[in-house]
Amino acid sequence: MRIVIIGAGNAGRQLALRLCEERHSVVMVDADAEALAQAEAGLDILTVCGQGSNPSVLEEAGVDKSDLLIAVTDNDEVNILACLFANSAGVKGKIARVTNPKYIHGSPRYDLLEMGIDLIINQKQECAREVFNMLQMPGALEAFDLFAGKVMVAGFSINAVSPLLDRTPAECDRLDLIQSVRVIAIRRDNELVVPHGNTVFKQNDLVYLVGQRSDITAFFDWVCPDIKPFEKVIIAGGGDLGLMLAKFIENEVECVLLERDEERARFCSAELNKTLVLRADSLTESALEESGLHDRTAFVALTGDDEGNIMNCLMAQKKGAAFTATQITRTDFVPVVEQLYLVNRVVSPYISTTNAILHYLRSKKVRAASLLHNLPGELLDVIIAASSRADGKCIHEIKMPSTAIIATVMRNGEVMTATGDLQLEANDRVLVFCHPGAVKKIQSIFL
Amino acid sequence: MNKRAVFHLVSYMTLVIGIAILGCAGVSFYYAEPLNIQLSLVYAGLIAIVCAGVVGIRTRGDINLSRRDGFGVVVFGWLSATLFGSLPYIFSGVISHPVSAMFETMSGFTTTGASVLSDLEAIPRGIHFWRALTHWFGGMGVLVLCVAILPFLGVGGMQIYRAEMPGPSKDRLTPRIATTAKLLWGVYALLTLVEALLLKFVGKMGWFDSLCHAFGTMATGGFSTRSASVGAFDSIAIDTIIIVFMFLAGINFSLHYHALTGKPGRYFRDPEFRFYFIFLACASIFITFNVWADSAASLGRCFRDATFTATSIMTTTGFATADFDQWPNATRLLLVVMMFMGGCAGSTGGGMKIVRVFIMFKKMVRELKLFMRPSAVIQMKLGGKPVEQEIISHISAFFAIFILIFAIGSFIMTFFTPNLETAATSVIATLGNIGPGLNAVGATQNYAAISPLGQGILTIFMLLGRLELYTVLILFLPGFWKK
Repeated sequence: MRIVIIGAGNAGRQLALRLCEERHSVVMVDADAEALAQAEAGLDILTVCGQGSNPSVLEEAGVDKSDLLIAVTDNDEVNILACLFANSAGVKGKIARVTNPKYIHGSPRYDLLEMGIDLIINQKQECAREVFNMLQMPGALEAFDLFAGKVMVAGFSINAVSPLLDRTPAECDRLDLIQSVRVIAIRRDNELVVPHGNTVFKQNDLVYLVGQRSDITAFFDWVCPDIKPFEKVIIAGGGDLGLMLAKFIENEVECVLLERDEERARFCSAELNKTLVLRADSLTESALEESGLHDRTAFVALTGDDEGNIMNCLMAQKKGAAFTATQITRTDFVPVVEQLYLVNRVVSPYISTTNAILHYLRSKKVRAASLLHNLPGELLDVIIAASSRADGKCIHEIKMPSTAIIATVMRNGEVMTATGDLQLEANDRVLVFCHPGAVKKIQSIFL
Repeated sequence: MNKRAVFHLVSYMTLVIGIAILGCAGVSFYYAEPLNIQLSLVYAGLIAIVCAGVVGIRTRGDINLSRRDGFGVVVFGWLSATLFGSLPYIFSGVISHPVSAMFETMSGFTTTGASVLSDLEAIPRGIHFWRALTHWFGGMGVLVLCVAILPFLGVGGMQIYRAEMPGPSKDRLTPRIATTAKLLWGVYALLTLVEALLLKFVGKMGWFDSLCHAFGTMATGGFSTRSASVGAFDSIAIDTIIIVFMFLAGINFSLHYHALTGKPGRYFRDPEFRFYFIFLACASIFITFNVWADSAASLGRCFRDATFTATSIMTTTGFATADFDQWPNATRLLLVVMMFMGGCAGSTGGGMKIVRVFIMFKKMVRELKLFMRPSAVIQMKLGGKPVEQEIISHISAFFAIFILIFAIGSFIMTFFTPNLETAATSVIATLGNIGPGLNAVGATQNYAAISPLGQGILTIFMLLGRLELYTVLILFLPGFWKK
């Protein structure tokens, strides 16, 4: 497929990387020649320098020959305009990132989707929801629902007191709990490990599980007994993301928002109902003191300043925060921060954008795809086609690629545990975790 | 430099060379040539394949090429191709001295066309075919071919493409570099086929000669199957076909691609093409009258030879229909100037490339204007598009290095050649990948009289010229070898 990506920022680059891995032809457009040169150095793509909303630039990028246009610049207007031009040039798929919620108007008269844009992504909103899910599940570093809430995916890290430490799944004392969920992937030192029966859990492993919500919750109670639900969430930075998160969370738990700018703080206060908005510099001891930080508090730093965010989390940890998360926009910082275990969780807003676009790209039969945080793999939700290779076979009979694993099976609305001798049938919904390179193979097995 | 990955890719390239040599053994078998000729080609091919296999298997693993590694792959790939490509000459006894055999092979791959062989009619057809094939592979680049056919290269493919394709800025036809490489090789192969068919059916050549000459023309190489080069056929049809295809081979191949996909207007919109076309036309007319005034030949004959020679020299092919060394001095000097200029960027031609000369000329005018009005702001443009400052300084450096190497090379070659004219033109003829020079290395002469050491030095110049200096010179920077 020929794909034009407008915007060479984090989201654009991440997308280009993914799409190149899947052997699509990618053209990248950006007005910043330096950002383009940087992207081109590491990717097999064509680059065009110019404003993405300029028709002659789009023409140069060969939009008329392309199958898909993805506009992910920082500028909503450019994104929307580029998609509208692409629509009149006859491009089949148009995806725009739109951050300003005011553009997403309820009335069909002003509906962007009616105007020919196929998918609107609100990156900030998706990201806020991701953080919200994570905070709802203490101990989890990542959590999201699939199959309309019937199945949950959660990631947690193995700490020094974990009952799983240095054991294989079979050696654990609560076999019943571990069998009710399925371990689909482990991240160890930034590498993906696909687990099998005798994989030993190591300290600092990030383990991903799939299972029914109740099972996962029970499992978490056993694995991290010392972590109790947060009583308070402190958000540093009242930008779009921080404000959105506060809106989600204020109905569930006590929430404090720290914002330095007086005008913005006032605006936040007007938008929010229960949250306590403090006009203070979150990087000061007194501000943290005033916000009432204690040992059952989660601290989330969402200002635009990466270094400040990291420092802020460290300060909060010193004060005794149970959980810290930080937004990092410069991708180069992420591996360092994660490897030094400076914070509990890094939030990268562009992941959710990439995620949503990959969802859209999979064929119709692959219902959804999700990326796991900073892990080279994705979850595919496939419905088994009649007369496909998997139809009527037991799971252990299917020759799966070594980098793929069947996470769970849903039949007639019932979640089944994916054991080796479960026989698959047509119309079963299967959740598969796999390496990006194996996506085509998976499609050929199940479709 | 990631030595493992570099040598893994070099082994692929060597494999292609080995298979091609075996193909030539097939040609030799078809013409029922003596068994020792057939066997020498089979042995040479098998040695290349076995070496490639052993190295390839021992260096298996991930291929993650950095920019630096791309240069390494290209230089070592070319050296390996020359090493294994010289085996057929040595084994068959056609060229006895190994350095001379390497000279002949490098001259083939770099599409120079300088030869150490004097009696070409006595050479077996299998060897002739290999000689022509080295041209054809070298013209568009064996590694670009590898980029086109090896599916796993990804970004690494771009590094290799960048290091092997001539020209200051590398345009992509498609987003994926493998597809671009495929299209360019496709256009190249198509043009070669068309030329071979025309030579066979319109030019009334034999199949063998038509293929060998088509390979030599499209690669802008210049190896012929006759000692008297194309002049031996003495046919207006053949001369015309070869002139047209030499001219086409000197054009940026992405323009051909656009023309074939229904946009022939791109040719004249390209400033480099316009300059190339007009300069070549003017030079042909000048040479015609200059030669006509000086000789007893008819104007038509002069026009035919002048156009052929001008095109042959400017595109750096090096075929000859007349001994241009006997022509007036004004013409000879003009030919040397054209040797420096060479073909268009992105063509198979050598030299400094017209776009570089063109940009340098514009820069010169700009500097002059700035002398007059020091506060003027003058953005250089090419075809209506601004030229980046980086490219201009890159080209200035290229010019300086090219001239420096030419000067040092000429100095060194004075020790190996009888006179100054020969020394200087032997260097530009090899550095610009042309082939014939003037005087003792002129159109009817060859390089056999130069001692093996001198030939070895010229071999290096050919590689420097084909890979456009930087790719080779970067290997001599100490930092290149460090992590």
